[in-house]
Amino acid sequence: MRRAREIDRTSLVAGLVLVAFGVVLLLDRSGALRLTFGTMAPMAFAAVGAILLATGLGRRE
Amino acid sequence: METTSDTPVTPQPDPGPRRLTRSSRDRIIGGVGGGMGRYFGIDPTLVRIGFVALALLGGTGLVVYAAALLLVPLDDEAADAPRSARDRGVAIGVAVALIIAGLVFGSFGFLFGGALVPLGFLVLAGLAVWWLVSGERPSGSPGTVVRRAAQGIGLLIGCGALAVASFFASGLGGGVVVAGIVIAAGAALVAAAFVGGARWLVLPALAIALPLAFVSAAGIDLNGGFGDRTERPATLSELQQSYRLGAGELVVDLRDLELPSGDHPLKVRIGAGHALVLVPDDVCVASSATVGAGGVDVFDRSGGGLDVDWSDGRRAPKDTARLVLEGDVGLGLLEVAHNRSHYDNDHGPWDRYNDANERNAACATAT
Repeated sequence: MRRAREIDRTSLVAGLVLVAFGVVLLLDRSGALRLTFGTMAPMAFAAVGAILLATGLGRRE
Repeated sequence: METTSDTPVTPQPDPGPRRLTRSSRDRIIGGVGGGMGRYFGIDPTLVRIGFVALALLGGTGLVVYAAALLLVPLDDEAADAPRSARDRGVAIGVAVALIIAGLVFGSFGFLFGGALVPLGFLVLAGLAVWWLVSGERPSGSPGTVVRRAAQGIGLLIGCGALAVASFFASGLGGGVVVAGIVIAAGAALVAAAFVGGARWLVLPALAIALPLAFVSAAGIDLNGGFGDRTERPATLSELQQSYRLGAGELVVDLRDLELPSGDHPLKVRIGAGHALVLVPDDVCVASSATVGAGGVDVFDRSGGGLDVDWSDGRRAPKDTARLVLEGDVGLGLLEVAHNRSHYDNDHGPWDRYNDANERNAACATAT
């Protein structure tokens, strides 16, 4: 029986984070949102942190 | 009676001199601290603290660590046969390159105090990038470590180029397209996750996304040209209500202008750089500005940081001209002064605060 291919969680989490981050940036650039450093910095740090966390946890498995 | 032992005394094999090796078990980066701690019989944590302290005090710690990483073998390798001639050649090549770099850069004071510190950080950054992308520790033979560091640095340079391109494209109005590329890269990563993954794509995607985020947060608009520009209207008809520059230095010199009493609106907009408005002594200036990242200096008042919302409302006495300045700066500095010489002298811009002329003296009251 053929085994299902294992999902690469790091790529999955990083991809989802980047899509969400990109959508926020798109809304800002199109004028629907007005982002400042006060709102953007936590989002950027959270995005990078989530990717690093996924990378680190992915290595432990 | 004389007795002798029947068992022959077999001489113990000579263990040879104790060898300094990197530890393959007790390691954070390359096992240098663990190996040195074991060799000298001290706690490896103390060795690591020493490396960090030396790295902060002139950068010597980075150089010593990098040299140990290249030249000291792992303990697993020490038990094996001697290292290959190729690895030894790589190590010697790196050492020769460092010596040549030292001769090129001149004094060793500069070398250890200046050039090697960023070089050391670059090598460590390359190894960190390699670790992030490949998931493999930066250990192994010197040749392997050098190769991985070089690949990491190459990726880092490529991502740097992407980041610069993203910054300018976003600042010049292509932010929607750049955001679309980020979303597409994210979608590609999600799709690739089900067919083995594409971790190599994470770093380039971040290199595109983060500059766009910076441009968005700071509100940087690079349209309006690049370089240094000086505007010096001599008559009221030459005075525009708005001046704009993408990046560089914009000087609006109003000192030749005789402004009649009343309000005179002026907008100054700069994406990244320095905007300087020079006004006559007898003109009152009321100012407001938004600055993404940077500062505002209006005569003897100043403010700065991120998301700066500046307001300095002033009233002018009757029969006095008032310049109502509205500034918009993405990244940089907006300054208002009576005299430019304060920026050109050797003492720097802060010297202006000691000058009695640099006051908004034509205004009636401060609010």
